[in-house]
Amino acid sequence: MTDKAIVSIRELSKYFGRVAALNEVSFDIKAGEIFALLGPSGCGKSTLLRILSGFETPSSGELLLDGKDLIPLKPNKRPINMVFQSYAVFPHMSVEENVAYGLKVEGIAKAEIKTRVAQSLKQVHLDEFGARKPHQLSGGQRQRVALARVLVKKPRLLLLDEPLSALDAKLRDAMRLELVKLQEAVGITFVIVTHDQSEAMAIADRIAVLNEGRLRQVATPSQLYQRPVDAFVADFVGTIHSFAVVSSTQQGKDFVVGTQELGNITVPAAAVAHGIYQLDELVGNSVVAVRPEHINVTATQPANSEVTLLGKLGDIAFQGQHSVVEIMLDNRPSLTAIASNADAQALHESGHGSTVWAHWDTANMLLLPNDASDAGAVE
Amino acid sequence: MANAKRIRDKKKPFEYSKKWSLRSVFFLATLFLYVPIVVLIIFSFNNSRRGGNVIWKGFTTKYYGKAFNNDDLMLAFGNTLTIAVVATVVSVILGTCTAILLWRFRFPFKPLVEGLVSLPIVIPEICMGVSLALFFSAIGWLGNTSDIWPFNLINVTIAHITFCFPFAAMVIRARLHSFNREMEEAARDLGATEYQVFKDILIPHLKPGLVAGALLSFTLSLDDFIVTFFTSGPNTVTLPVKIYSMVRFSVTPEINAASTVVIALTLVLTVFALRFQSKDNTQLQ
Amino acid sequence: MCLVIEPLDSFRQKPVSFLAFGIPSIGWLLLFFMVPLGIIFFYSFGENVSLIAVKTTWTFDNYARIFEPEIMTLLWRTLWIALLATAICLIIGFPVALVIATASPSAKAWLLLLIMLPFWTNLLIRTYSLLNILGTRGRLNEMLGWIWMRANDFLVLIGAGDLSLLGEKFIPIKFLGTPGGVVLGIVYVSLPFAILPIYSALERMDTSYLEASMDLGAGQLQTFFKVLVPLAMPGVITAFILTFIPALGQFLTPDLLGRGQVDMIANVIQRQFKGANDWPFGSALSLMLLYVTFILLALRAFGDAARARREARH
Repeated sequence: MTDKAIVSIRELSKYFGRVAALNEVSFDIKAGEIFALLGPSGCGKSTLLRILSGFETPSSGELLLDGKDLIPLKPNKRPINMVFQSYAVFPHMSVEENVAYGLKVEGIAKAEIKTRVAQSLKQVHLDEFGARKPHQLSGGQRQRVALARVLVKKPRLLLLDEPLSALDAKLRDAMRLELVKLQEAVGITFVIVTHDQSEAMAIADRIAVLNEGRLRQVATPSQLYQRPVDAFVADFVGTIHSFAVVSSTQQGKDFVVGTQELGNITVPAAAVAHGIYQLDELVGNSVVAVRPEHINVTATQPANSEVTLLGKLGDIAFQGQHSVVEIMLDNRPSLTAIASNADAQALHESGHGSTVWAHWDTANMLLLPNDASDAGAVE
Repeated sequence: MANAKRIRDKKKPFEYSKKWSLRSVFFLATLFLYVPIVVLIIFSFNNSRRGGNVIWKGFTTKYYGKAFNNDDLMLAFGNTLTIAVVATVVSVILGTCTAILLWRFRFPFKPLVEGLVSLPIVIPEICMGVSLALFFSAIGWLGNTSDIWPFNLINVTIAHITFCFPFAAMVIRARLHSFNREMEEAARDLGATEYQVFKDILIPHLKPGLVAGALLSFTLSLDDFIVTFFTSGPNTVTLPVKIYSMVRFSVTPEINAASTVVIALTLVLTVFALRFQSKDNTQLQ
Repeated sequence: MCLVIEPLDSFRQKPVSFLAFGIPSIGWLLLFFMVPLGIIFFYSFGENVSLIAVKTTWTFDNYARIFEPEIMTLLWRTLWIALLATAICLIIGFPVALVIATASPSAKAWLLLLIMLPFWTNLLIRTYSLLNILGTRGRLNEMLGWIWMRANDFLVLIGAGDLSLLGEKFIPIKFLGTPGGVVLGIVYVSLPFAILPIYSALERMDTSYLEASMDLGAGQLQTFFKVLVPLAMPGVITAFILTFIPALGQFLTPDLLGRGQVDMIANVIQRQFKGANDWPFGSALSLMLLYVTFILLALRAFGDAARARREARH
C-alpha cells in the first residue's frame, strides 16, 4: 500500500429529484488498499458505487481516477470492474465463457484469452470448473466466477457490492479471509460496499462511514472504533452507552461535563472528538459515552473507580470467550458490560436482581457530538 | 449545491424506452395496429352507398339505423349475446371445477389430465371447428333449424364452452395459488364443514379470478369466428359469421357500422375489466 | 427462491369432492373435445359412401393424397407464409416489447393496454378492416401514391425529373390476392401474441446482467446481442409457438385477403366440409395440422423440462 491516491472524490453530489442521495462527499482512495463504504441502507453508498462504475452520473462534483476525469467515460470504457451483489454471472454461458467475455469484447487474441482465463480461474480455485454452467455451481462458486471475471480484466479499481451478504455465516467468514488474501496477491485496489460494520472492520484497510448521503468519517477500523467522530459513527461501529451532557465547564485543557446519571465527569482533551471546540455548544448537542468492554461490574462497591453507577443485575449471556452482563438502571435503558466468564459466574451466584456496581475510568470515555452535521465540520 | 457546477445527466444505457429508434418502432407498430380499425370506424359514418368507397362523402349515421333495422343482423347479434352469456356462466363453473381439481387433488394420470385441459387452448381453431362439426353431425344436431330459439343455439353454445372454459380454468387456477391453505384449516378448526369452507372461504377468495375468467370467456365467445362458422346452421349464426357472409357477398357501409358496434362493445368490456382490476388491486393494498 | 408446496389431498381421501369437481370438468372435455377429435381420427381412415355418410374402412388413401403435388404445394405455401409472418412478428415484437418492459412503471400498464386492445377486438373485424386498407384503391395505396407524388416532385425539383427514376406514374401495389397481403394480414392479427411473451421475459430480466456486460467492456450492441437476446430466448420461443401455430391454421386472412388465390391448409380443409364434401380427406388434413402442433408443443415441453431440471439443481 502506498499513500498515492488512485481515486479522488471532490464534493460529489447526486440528487434524485429533490432528494440528495449524496451530499458533497469528498475523500481519496489510496492505491492498493481495501477501502470500504459503510453505512445503513439508503445512506448513499450504493449510489456512490454506481457513480464509480459509471451507471449513474453525479449531479455535481469531481471524480478523478489517476488524476483524470472519470465522469465523461461510459461504464464500458472505464478501467473499473464490479462484482455485483447478485453476481450477475451470465446463465447462458459456461464458467470459462463468463470469464472470457470481458476479454472477448475487448478484441483480445484467442490464445491470450485462453491463458489469462485459465490463470484467473486458478486464482479463485475454480480451475476444474471451466466447462460448467452457472446453474451447476453453488452460490459461493458463482461468486468466485464473478471475481475471476473481473480479475482477468486487470482493472485499476475493483468494486464489490455487498460481496458477502448472500453467503451463509460459515462461508462468509472463510470468504472474508480469502478476499483479503486475494487482494494481497493481485494488488488491485478494492472498494467494498457493505452495511455490516464487522465485515468492513475485518476486511478493510480504511473505511468511509456514510449516513443520509453525507460522509461522516474516513478512518482505519481501529481509529473508527476508538476515535469515532460522532455518536452516530460510534454507535454504528459497535455498542456504546451514551449519557447526555447537561452542563459544561473547562479546566485547563480538559472539559468537565455534567450528566444526569453520572454527575460531573472530567474528560481528557484526548477523548474529545474532532470537531468539538466550542464549550457552550456542548449542552444538548453532545454525549459522553463508554463501550461495554470498559465497564466493570462487581457485587461490592468498588474502591477506586472514577465513575460509578448503582444498578440491579439483569441477564447474563454466555458468548464463548466472554460473557455479556446486563445492568438494569432505574430511569434509563440498561447497560451491558463485557465480563470474563469467571466473573460472570460469580455475579450469577448473587442472583438476578441483586444490587451491582458498574464502574469505569474517565480515560475510557468519549465526548461526542450527537450529530456531526449539526456540530460543525467533519474532518 | 448553490455554487456547484451541475453535470448533465447522461442517458442510462439500458433505458431502451428512451431511445428514439426503439420508440419510433413502437410508434409505427401501434400505428399499424390502430390505423385500419380507426379507418373502419370513420368510414362507418361515410355517406356513400359503397362500403369500400375510398372517398369521404359526408357524415351520416344512417347505416347504423340500417344495421339496426336489418333483421338478420339483429338476430345474429341476439344469438351472439345469448351464446356469450350462457357460455360464460357455464365456463366459469366448469373452469372453477377444473382449477380446484388440479390445484387440490393428487390422482393418477394427473399430468395427462393437465395436458388435456390445456389442449383446447393450444390446438388450431380449425381443428376444433371441424371435429365439433363432425361430432354434431354424427349425433344429428347439425343444422336442425326447426328447433325453437334459443334451444337451436345449443350446439354452438356447447362448442363455445369447450374452448372457453380451459381459459377460465387457467385464470382461476392462477388466483387459487394465492390462497393460503391455513385459512381453510382455521375455518375447519372453528367448526366449518367442507362445504361451508368452500362456500364461505374459498369462493370469496376466488372472486376476482372468477370475474377475470368470466370476462375472458365472454370476450373469447364474442370473438370466435371459426368454431361458430363450422357448428352453426342458417338461423344460428353469430354476428361475426353474419358479417363474414355479408363481406363475401359485397362490402357495404352497414358492415362498417355493425363492426363498429362490436368494437364499441369490446371497449366497454375492457374498461369494465380495468375498473374491476384496479379496484381489486386497491383492495389488496 | 422460496417455493411453497401446497399439500395436495389424495383423491382417495375425499372421493366425493374429487368426483364433484372432476366429473363435470373432465367429463365435458372427454365428451365434447376428445370424442370429436376421435371422430376425425376415424373419418381420416374412411371413405365417402354417400353424400353425407362416411364409413371407416382403414384406408390410407386420404393420407396418400397429402403427398400429391397440389397438396404438397399447399403445405409448403402454408409453411413459408406462417414462418415469414412469425419471423416478422418477432422482429417487430422484440423492440416493441423492449420499450414496454423498460418504460416507467406507470407508463408500462398503458403501453401494454395500447398493444393489447386491438388483440381483444374481433378477429374477423380486424381482418375486414385490413381489407379496406389494402385494396388497389385502398388507403395504403392512396398513401403510397401520395408519397410517390412528393418524391417525384422532389426529383423534378433537383432536376432529375426526366430520368423517370420512379417510373412514369404510380402503379398501385397489389396486396389483395397476393402472398404478401396474406403475410401482412397474419402479422397484423398476431403481432400482440408475439409481443406479450417477449415482454414478460424481458420484464423479469435482472438488469444487473446487462450492467455486468457493460461493466466488463461490452458496448450497447454487444450487450444487446450477447446478453439481452440470449436471456430473452425462452420468451422468444414462447412467442414463436404462440404465433406460429395459429398462423399455420389461419383461415380468415387467406380467405379474405388472399381472395382464394393464396390458399393455406385451413382453406382447403374448409372446402372439404363446405362444398367438396370430402370429409375423410378434410379430417386427414386437420389431423396433419394437429400433429404438427403436437410436435412443436412436445419439442417445447422437452426444452422446458430440460430447463426446469437445470433450475431445480440450483
